[in-house]
Amino acid sequence: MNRFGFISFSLVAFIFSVFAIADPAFAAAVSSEGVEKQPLNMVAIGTFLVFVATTLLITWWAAKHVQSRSDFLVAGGGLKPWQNGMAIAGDFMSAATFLGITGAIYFRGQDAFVLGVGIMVGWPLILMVIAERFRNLGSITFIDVLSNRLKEKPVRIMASCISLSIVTFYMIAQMVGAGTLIQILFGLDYIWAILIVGLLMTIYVAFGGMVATTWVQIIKASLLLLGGTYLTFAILQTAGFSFDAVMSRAADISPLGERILGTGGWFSGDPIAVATVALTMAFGVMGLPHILMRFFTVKDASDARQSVFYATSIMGYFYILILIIGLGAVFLLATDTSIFDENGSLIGGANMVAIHLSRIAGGDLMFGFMAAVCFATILAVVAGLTLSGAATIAHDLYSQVFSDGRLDDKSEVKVTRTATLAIGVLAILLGLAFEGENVAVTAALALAIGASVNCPIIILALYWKGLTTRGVVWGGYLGLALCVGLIVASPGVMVAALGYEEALFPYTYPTVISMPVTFLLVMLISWFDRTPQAMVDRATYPRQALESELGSNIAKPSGH
Amino acid sequence: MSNGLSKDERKQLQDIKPFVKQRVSISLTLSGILLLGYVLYAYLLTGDGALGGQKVWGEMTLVIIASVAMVVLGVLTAGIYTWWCRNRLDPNMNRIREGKPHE
Repeated sequence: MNRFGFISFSLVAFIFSVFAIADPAFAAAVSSEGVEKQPLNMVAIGTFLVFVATTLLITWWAAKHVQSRSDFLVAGGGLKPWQNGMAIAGDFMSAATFLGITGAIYFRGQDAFVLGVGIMVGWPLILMVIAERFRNLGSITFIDVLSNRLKEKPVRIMASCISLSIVTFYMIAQMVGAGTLIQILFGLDYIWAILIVGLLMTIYVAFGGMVATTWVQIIKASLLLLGGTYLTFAILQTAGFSFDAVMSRAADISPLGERILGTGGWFSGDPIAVATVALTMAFGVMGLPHILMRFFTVKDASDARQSVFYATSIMGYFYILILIIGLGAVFLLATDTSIFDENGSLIGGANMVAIHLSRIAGGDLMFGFMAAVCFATILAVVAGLTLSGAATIAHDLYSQVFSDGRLDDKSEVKVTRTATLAIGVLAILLGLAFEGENVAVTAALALAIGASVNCPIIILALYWKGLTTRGVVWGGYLGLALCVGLIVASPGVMVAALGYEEALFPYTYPTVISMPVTFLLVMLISWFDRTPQAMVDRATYPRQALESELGSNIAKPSGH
Repeated sequence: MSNGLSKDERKQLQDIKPFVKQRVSISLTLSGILLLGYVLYAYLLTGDGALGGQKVWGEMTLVIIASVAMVVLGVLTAGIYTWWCRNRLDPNMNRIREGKPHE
């Protein structure tokens, strides 16, 4: 590690950020469409700069301790369960959760809370179904687990395609969200927001690897929990610490009336719409590569279990806060007419509900703090995505496929850093290319691919002896094509992006169809697979079963 | 060698079977409870909303109680499973892993 290079890079990044913030005239040269830019918010900028300075120091410290590929990509398996648990929770307490679900409850009522409930169902399932087995079978990415007993090259290539698709779609949503949000929150222009996020995430990941990425998540999660707790306290205080009063005031003011506390605000009672969202939320988590990678950052299966328990508890607390914040926002926002435009619409739309609430509940100081936390949140999530994408490129593709596993540790770290840089540049370009586009569908696509393709493959790889290489590879590609095809035929693309009056597939999430079909495809193709490779795949299942229970320390001399 | 396993490995596989069976029954029970709750919760979101929107206690509707209960159930099942594994499963698995005889 060239420390001088790192410090120079950090300084340039820091000066670059400060320059961008301090020179609005320069930033204003590049305009962004459709979003109302706010005046510069000094509290937000100050809080964010403190966050950046702290996390860069941690990155510098982490970079000094990176000795091997394992140190770089999975923190050498040395994270404590609480650290990993906080980082996992941090991944899910994203801007989409905090701003998105709060806004959805504000506009669509209680129906929208299914987004949080689904995740709270998904995590215990991950814990009980895959966490320990994953930790025992894999080392760097979830693809290690898939290729454990199947033919390595085709499986790694197929799974890398899925993994990189998820990372790319998620990245587009995060980058465009970051640019738009930061424009509103900080008074910065879109391009500067994209450049700052792109540059900082590259620095965190390229130098500090998993350790730095984890600490960025931990700090951000703590700040978000602090801010969320304060907002909830402020809401309850206004309502005399009565949740009943919060609900009754919300129902009095909301255009949905009593329906805000009941159902029908979002799904209009359609059971398929409910089922497809519920399936995506509960099983999508199981297929996200940057989340699955976190199981390898702790020392053993027991620590992996504890991490998930900590994460579930933290997320449970946070989602309860979100419910109160969403309902509280309905009556508190109504007290300030300045946040509505002449048509009575909320300035900034649904994503600004929590932010407007911060100003009303805690003044400019709280507004600035929450704005900075949201920026930090996006930064932390994209850093995790970048690391996961870089690990797939360097470990799964370059090292295991193209170099036949002969790459030494040092070279693999070097390739990962290069891949990080490439992903950083790509993320910036994607952020700029999709400016002004409706990207809500890309986030849906990432989760839907996780639920529809990765989840069936992972479950079958762990539990079904009959699974074969051909089944995984063809089932995976066909499942991916079906999932993407249904998304393209959904209203999010056909109506919102392509301008058709009606969509061929009426639901945003395709999971209700694509998930069972992928299960079926993988099983049928494996069932009819009579190749010699299929015989080998089936014969090695008992070894995998043993390893998945005991880890790699199997077959020690018997003490009997 | 049989099934790609050595003699010691086959023995380990036999030894872990009862514990794996116990774990499967625990995780199936907890997952079943969780998924049943989730299905019931999702059912409340369907239809004309009369059931989900029913007031149970003050302004508290059935669907709000169900959603909070699901969040709590998620934490509880994760906690019970983690506790059980740590206290019941891990000591036995560690013994087998280290090749020690049954107690």
